[in-house]
Amino acid sequence: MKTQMQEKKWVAKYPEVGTEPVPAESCISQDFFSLERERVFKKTWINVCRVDDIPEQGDYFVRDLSVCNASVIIIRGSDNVIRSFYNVCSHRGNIITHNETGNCSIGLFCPFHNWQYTDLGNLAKVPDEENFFNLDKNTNGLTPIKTDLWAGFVFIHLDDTPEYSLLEYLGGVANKIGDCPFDQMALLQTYKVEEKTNWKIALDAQNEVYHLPFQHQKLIGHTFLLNNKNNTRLLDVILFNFHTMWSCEFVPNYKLSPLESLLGQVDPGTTGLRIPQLVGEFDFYVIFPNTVIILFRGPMEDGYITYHFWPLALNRTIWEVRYYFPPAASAGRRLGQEFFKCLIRDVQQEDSIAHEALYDGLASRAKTFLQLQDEEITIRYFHKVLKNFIASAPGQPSV
Amino acid sequence: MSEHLLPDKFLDLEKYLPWSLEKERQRTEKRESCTDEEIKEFYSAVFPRLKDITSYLDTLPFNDLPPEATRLFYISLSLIEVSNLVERYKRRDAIVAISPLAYESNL
Repeated sequence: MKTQMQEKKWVAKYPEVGTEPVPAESCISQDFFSLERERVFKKTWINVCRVDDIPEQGDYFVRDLSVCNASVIIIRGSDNVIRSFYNVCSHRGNIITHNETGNCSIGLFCPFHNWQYTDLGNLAKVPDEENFFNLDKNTNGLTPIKTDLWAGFVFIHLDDTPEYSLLEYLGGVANKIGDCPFDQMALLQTYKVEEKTNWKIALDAQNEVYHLPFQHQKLIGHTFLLNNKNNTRLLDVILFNFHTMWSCEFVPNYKLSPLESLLGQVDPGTTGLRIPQLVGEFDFYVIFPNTVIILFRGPMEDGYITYHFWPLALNRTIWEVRYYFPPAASAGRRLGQEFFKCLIRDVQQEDSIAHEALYDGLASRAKTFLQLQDEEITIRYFHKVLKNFIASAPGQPSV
Repeated sequence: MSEHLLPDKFLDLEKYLPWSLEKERQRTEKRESCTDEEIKEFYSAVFPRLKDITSYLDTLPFNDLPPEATRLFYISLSLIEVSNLVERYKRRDAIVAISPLAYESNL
């Protein structure tokens, strides 16, 4: 056990972040939500999918960025380059495809008048082309969106001239986990749940472990490391330029449930993939604004989880959760993965009800501030970064 | 060819074939449609057989299981689906959470 148990250790590490309560208005204000569209979601790199989502040439993945009123299609071209475009036809602006995934090697066709695009985004064919007036197919391809890759994650930027390259934007996060063996883990399950909450309330509620012994007492109340007063203590916190990380350890030899214990016995295999970049046993990275990457240690192998909080409106959010594990080669190993996934899923279903209750409470304006303790420092920092984006053009936060 | 739906050693579990469901969504729906007592009965019947089930499945190529072994594997996935309810919550009314059916799952 490496965790230090003393109090107020994170403000000592990052005194610039301060200790003041955080205003709650940003989570319930329609005006603030409009500003987030222009100054956050259109001014930052947004992770839209992974390269594994479009493994073959011509494969596409559609991401609805409702907050920016943008439907984005990400295509692996026949030249193997991954590009993104607005999913909008050059003819009269129709949304081209309503499929979430597909392959357009033979062409991408607008259902309205059958305009045809290639997997490179070029306009290939227009029915009754001769009857148009000076239509130049060369300048009427799909509208491109700035796209870049990091560690197999596909990011887009809706501003054609981003202030930072993707690597500059990711900063220390890229150094810390850029070499993680993400490509050796495969998607096991995706969950999506639409919650009646603000996207930041949901993200904030995930961005701490203080609540685990209370809200999740029955499921994982004694799994994450606790001090002698049964309060959680983080192993480490890192505040990056825009992003954050906290890490924690599990209770040594925590009490296994009967099935968990049995599953340990039915997986006789050798130890699987280990992620050398793990700091503790559960490392939680928030990539500003709406993406989370969690690296976790399992008894037999490691894995990772991603969260995305997709704002639909001020008080409507889709929480998307994806679980990645090394591909299982035995039934016992696969059941171990299923167990971990179902346990965390059931925890998340407890979280979802809280995300909605938190919004309802704040929306009443009974309370105007969030009171945050030292273990919640990454929430405080997130709101500080957000405030900087809202206040001005994106710049290096002063902390 | 086996004339049974499950491997011969596991015919005692045939009564639980309604729990042999491929998709997580189906397993969740099944859990939600059963009473706590029905779930506990299923758990109590399959839990003691899990070691035998995995020992048997691990004699076969996991990515190419024959149909009767696949059905058995899906039953063991359902055991996991209900385990938190049985082992940790004990009773469904102890759960304070959003409806599990609000969670859309892809596989």
